[in-house]
Amino acid sequence: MKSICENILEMSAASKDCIKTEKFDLSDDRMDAVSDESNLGLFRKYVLKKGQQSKGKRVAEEMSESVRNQLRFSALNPQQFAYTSRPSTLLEKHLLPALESSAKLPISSGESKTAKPQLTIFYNGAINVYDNVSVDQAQAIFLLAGRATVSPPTVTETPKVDIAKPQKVDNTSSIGKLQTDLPLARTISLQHFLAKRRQRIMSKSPYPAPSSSSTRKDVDKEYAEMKQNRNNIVDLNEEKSFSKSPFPSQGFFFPIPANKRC
Amino acid sequence: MDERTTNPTHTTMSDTIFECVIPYITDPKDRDSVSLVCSRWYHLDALTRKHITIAFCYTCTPKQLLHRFSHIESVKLKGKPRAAMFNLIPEDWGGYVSSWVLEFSRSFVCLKSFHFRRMIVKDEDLVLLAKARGRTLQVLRLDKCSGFSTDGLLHITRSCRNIRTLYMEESTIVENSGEWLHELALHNTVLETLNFYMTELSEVSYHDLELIAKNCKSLVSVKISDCEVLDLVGFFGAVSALEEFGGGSFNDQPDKYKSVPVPPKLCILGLTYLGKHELPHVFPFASRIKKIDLLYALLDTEDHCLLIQRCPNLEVLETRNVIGDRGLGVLANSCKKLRRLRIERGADEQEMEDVEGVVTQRGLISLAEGCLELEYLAVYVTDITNESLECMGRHLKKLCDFRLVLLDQQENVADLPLDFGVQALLRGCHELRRFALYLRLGGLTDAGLGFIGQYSQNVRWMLLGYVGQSDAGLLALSRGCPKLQKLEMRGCSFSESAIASAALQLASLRYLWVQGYRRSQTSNALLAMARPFWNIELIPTRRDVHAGALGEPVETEQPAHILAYYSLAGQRTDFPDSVIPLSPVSSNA
Repeated sequence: MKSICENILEMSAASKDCIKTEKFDLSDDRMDAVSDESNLGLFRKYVLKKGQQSKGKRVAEEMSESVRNQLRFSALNPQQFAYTSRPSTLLEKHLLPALESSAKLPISSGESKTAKPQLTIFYNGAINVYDNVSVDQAQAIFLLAGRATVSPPTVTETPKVDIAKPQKVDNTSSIGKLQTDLPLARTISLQHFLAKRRQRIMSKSPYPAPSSSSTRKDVDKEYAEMKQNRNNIVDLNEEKSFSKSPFPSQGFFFPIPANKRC
Repeated sequence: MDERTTNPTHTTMSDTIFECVIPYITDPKDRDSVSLVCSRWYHLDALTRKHITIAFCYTCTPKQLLHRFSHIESVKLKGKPRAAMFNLIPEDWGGYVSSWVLEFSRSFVCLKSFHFRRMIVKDEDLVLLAKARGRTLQVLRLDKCSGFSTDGLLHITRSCRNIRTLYMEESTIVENSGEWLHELALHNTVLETLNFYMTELSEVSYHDLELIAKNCKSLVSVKISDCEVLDLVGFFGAVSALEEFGGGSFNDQPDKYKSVPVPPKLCILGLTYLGKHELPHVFPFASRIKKIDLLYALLDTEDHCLLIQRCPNLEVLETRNVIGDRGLGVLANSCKKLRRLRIERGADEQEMEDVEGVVTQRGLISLAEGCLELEYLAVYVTDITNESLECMGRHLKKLCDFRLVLLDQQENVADLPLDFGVQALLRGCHELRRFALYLRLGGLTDAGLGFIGQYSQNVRWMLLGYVGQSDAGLLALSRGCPKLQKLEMRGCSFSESAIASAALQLASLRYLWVQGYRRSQTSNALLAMARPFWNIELIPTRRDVHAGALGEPVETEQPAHILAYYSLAGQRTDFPDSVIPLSPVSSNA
């Protein structure tokens, strides 16, 4: 359902954008060679590909915050939303003959072939479906929702930036959003290392018994036991090889630096 | 024509002279210039070029490489975008070596050194390489690669008995056995570098390592996966020429490590899971240490200080931000020869790292004033000021590579935006070739981006994260940066048309990667940058499941990427479902 929505949203916007591209002031001579035909062909290819590829990849039930945001965004753009009641343009018909049949799909509905416009609202994990909602009613709801949202309607992926703000911006509220939208990435090797280290600290006493490692002696005794066990395992193999993982998940443990709060 | 007949020896003599001279010209940019002089020199360059780096494997086909440089002895190929190192690119994105290996094995008779970085290498490729090159293969680097197993490695080590460098750092390898190492132990006597650091290989016998140490007298660099250092006592005793060691781990009681012999020439270390109590064992030879990797060590700020002050000859340091401002102060005082410093990001949770483990402008200022030889600086900071950037611009005249990332930990960073600091840094560091600035909302204004454009005369690679305010900033940047070849942007709120305009305006741009931008419903605005030989690819927003901090599956939504690059090979055909190419000239319009 979501994939179909996306397609329709893109198609409607694309019909306008496509025209924009043709008028774009292309400075390079070579650009003139890129004809209208090829642009349209590209656009068709792009849209069809997008449709094929995103079909069926999203499951309606698994609604994440971001998906809800997407729909909120589309809700706040009555133009796209109103697509369902607008007949397809000549351009659209020319580009996508298949669009004719799917054009009637309402954007936010679970059913695909109904004639009564449905409005589906996803709110706080619950899905509400309303039948027979007129375009004006829907637009009114969208405007209300738009006023209610804190941030300006943007696509989820970009950081929620109000670019008209003065220079010394208060980053506090935005930072949380930055982190969820596009969190600072870490290298894979560091991720693994930090995960292993956390595992070690969290299961620092793999054996029950008096092993909260309060004293060094306890630790040593416990350690000697574990080492014994490890040696036993190793002897079973023909060759001496590296232990699989010297980490608590396999019953290993190594001295914790004294100052760590473990 | 007359000139030639009257002086017949003139041309041939200069050719001969040139043929003698040209092998000494090794810098690729110089070679480029040489090849443009005349066709004779072009052919001479083609015949005598020894090494080629193809910065992005889709820029040309193997056949094209063959026609241009048929006699190369060494090749380096890079595949996936750099973002793959941060888990941002789908695993099956592309970058397959297969077509290359096929051509390498068929033609390229002189080729004996292969370096594949961030590419997908299959066992079949390794088998083919082993069959085709056998005893002539000298260097094989599978650098952050994936797709192969120890079976493929076995073919290599079994057939290529003269291999000198076997490097697999950070590769994802399916482990079936430890036979590949055993083969190396049995047959090889010329091995110089063995590296499977940061791989998950565990079926590795230290008897084999010992044997390798005994047989290969030129063994200079060994970096292994996790293994108990105490088990390597025999190995350390046998490697007389060893200069570099990385990996291992410390699981036993600290005093037992006293008995581990230290190879006399050891000066490059990367000891994983090195803790406070094992640290004293490093002190006796600390004054020899030239390079040390503490990224995967378990040291706190105090430990860093204790170690660093004993390393006056330190040239390269890699560690996490647990080093803190205090550690940087000690570094500045003690390590005057420091050339490269990389400070990575530690854990986000306060409890996991030392409280002192933050780097701020204070540490940077002491660093700038103390380590004047610095050429490479990459640092994750918690706080930053314009003054510290100005200070770096004033002192670090040899800086070629500068990367600054502002972490999210501290909500209020008082001295933003960093416009004037960045300006001063760029104006001061004339040699800067690579520049990365990753800030946050309000970190750099459009004027700041303009400064970057104006003052990065020599910068070839740039990464910009969360900078700028509007499209005007990007356009201002693109009016400058005359030598910018590779641009990466993340989280900047530029529109597609601005991105397209910038791509058209940047004179030297040949590779563009963007994640996080103001998307339109289609990506048609991007087509504004369509032109011949310029490939545009999209990775649309997708759901990605990866392992979380505790190993649990975490699903995140990955925002869309744009990747655009010049290519002589046309649109690639091996893209997965997650990649959508937008070709400049549609073949089936």
